[in-house]
Amino acid sequence: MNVDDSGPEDDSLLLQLMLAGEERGFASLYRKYQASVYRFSLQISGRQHLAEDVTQETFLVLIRAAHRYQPERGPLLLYLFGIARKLAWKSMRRERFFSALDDDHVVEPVCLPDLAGDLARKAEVRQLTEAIVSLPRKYREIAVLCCLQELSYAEAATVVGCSLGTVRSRLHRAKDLLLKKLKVRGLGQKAAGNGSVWGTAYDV
Amino acid sequence: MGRFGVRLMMCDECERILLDWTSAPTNDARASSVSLLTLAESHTQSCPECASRSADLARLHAALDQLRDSTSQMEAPAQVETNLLAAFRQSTTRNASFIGINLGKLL
Repeated sequence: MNVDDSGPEDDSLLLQLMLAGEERGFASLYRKYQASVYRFSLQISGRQHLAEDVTQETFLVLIRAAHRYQPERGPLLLYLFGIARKLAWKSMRRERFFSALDDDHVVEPVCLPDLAGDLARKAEVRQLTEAIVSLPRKYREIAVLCCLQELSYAEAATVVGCSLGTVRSRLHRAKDLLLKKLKVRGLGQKAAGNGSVWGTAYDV
Repeated sequence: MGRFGVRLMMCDECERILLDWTSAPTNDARASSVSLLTLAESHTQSCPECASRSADLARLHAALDQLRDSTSQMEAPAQVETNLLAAFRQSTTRNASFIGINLGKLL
């Protein structure tokens, strides 16, 4: 979602309705942002059950403390990302989630109609997902925010609460680490074949 | 400056531009760095190491785009909305009864 398209005027109106106890205010905000918050949580944790919990908890925080949102500090979506980020790291710490992914909980890419290339793409997406999830926290969250959620450096800085320069350097480092991890894993080898986006660059 | 007054680019500067350029479509850096990218591209034509680095980054971004596309339709299960709406109703009821109790005390 493009943060600029989120309609801050609409959001403040919906928040006012919500604060006045109107369910439609909350329901509209939830329907507007749940997918972005869910995907962000999923991309950062790599686990669906955790993403569901984090999404639910994030909007519970909004129900309990909507008055704490300050529009002058940025769009509502960035505020929600900020909450989701903290909750996700807290949940991952609780689950001691710093080990390899379990197969039964890993993010499964959506199947594409092209069946011939689907397996190869799925393997690539899975390898990249695993590489992202194995990044250290400070690089992972920036990679997800900038590369997958398509936030600008300034928006990512708002979510994480750091400077723009820090976002830039962390993103550069994240990309370096991703490239190294993907090279080690030999992404683009036999499973991907010639149609791989990685071509033969990572053949060892 | 180079021999003919053309600005020469160093490898680390080239890498920084490539990393910034391919970060995100909405990145502010993109709009303002077209000329820098042209410089970086001409640098990669004469520097095999940077050309290889540029190709690696292009592949990484293609894979990231693929990953983003593959999750673009994902959303929270319907049960989450059901739970949250129930929590919202509960919180408004609680607030209403709290106000009611306090009004009762005042009256």
